[in-house]
Amino acid sequence: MNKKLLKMIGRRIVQSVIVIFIVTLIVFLLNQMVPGDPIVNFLGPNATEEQIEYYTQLFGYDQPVLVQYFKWIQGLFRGEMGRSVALQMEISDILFERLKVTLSMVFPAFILAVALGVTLGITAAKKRGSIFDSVISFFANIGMSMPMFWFGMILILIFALKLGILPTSGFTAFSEGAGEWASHIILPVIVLAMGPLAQFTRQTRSSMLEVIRQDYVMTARAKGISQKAITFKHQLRNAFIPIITVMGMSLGGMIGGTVLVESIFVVPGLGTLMISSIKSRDFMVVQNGVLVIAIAVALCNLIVDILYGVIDPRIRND
Amino acid sequence: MADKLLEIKDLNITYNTEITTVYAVNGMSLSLEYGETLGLVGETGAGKTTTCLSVMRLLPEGIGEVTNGSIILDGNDMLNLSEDKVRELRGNIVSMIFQDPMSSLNPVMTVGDQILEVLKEHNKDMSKADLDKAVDDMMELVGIPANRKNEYPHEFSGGMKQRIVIAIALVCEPKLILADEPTTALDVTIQAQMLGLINDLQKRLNTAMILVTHDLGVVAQTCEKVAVMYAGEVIEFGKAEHIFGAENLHPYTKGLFDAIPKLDEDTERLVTIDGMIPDPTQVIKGCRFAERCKFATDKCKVAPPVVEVEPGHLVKCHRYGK
Repeated sequence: MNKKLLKMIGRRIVQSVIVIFIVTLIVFLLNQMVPGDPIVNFLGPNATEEQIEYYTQLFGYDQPVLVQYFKWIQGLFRGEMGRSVALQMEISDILFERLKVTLSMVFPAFILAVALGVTLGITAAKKRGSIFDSVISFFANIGMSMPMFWFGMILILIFALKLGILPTSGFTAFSEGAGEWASHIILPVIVLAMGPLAQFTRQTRSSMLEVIRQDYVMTARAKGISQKAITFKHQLRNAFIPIITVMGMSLGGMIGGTVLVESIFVVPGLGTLMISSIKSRDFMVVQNGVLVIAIAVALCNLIVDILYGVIDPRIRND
Repeated sequence: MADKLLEIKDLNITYNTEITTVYAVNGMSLSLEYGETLGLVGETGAGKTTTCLSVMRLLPEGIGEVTNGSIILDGNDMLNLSEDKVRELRGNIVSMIFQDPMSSLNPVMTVGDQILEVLKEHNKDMSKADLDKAVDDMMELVGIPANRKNEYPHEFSGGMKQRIVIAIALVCEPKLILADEPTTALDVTIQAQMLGLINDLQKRLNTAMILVTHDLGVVAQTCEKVAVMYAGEVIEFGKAEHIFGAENLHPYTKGLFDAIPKLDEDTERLVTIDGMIPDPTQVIKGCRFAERCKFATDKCKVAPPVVEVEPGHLVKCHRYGK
């Protein structure tokens, strides 16, 4: 039984590696097609031909496209991502610094969305048709359709400008004080969590409703076990497959999709780094950034697949 | 201890939806002694399953509603007990075997755990070792090697799944089993096996059973008593030999027997009872079968009396009234 599970996990890891490899190729080629040059951008309009040529050679941008690609991949295996032209720093240093900031928003937001979404979804399903259910469904619909940037601005307007209890923007690392960190992060986390929260609530509600009518739930009732045991042991575990799918996709999407939230709240995360790098045509940073995001998304999918196998014994077989 | 295991009196059940009200069970009465086997026969929509669910108090919440009558099970007034008390009885004093074994087991729980769950719920002071032993014994009893208890339902065939379902129903040694068409979803050879198994275990554990079925052959094989249901009420009740003796029968029951194809005669078409079961959303004052009955007279516009045509054989029909 566990052998089956391990085999399944091994297969999924191989698949993930292939996907990540394909992503590197696509992102590299796309970058080649984008007009503009990082060196020209960095040196500015007053640079001489010699200067441009010197730096182009220094960064290896004069070499054939394929050679550049293989050098990049080669570097990755040694743990080197290259240097940023615009920032004049090792790309791996910047990226991981920024990734930490992004993750410190994404994880709290994700946990908030999961805990609240699943709870609300179960409650709504149990009290289907009640006022409570209608209110939850109403807000879930609003949550899913409200644009992030608008919601973010409204929150800034209320909590920062009108009430003055939270800062409008910026970021403080956790190591510099938990209170400061929390006050800066609370609004971005809420904005980031809203969409997924609404989605988890709806998905949990509908999966639970589907499961509630199953025969095995009737069997469980006929055993005389408590409603709590029925909900958690029989219903939720069966309802969890589609919920986990949505969660995995959301977590991946949140890591890649913090661009908007980081821009609104001026957070120095991965998203804002990507935007500035695209503007300065610093494509080595862009492609490494995309790679990091791709790995994160692949990792989320991998975890979801493993959880499938853990939850549902039927999936271990194929 | 009460003298009767189960006593259903004048039971009325409706299903209320937004569109309409369905009168599923109408003035149903039934009684069952300890250790007895009763066949509950009737066509689809006659209210057989609804009756069983109401005994377990498992009617769909907010939709199914008992509007009148009483159900006394082993001295417990089922309709007026607290939910907690009912939970103590479910699976313990009364348990149910559902129609479709394919879907009545939880796909993400091992079969052993599913049997264990009900045993543990009703025997909280039993030790882990004793519980495990009881589960193993039960599995062996229904003919499944105990070493397969860590497998999941999808690893078993339909017949074996039904054995597991039976094990779940019997592991607490209940006083009453409600078997709701336990063999409908299985093929014929497995059906016979399953009935044999249920009968065997029932005798061994001295459990009473209500066997819900369409199949008169099955009833003849396994049941001591028979109740025929039509449009939500029992129209005929008696010992199996009364019903299968084919005398003084309710016209509907007679129709059911006539509808069984005979092997020794050439028949072009199957014999049927003309007409349809009455619309369950309508309240009918007189005999519910009158519209389809070839013996119907003006008398049938009033509700028929229950007549004891011979000792222990009750028929609800004007034909036998004085």
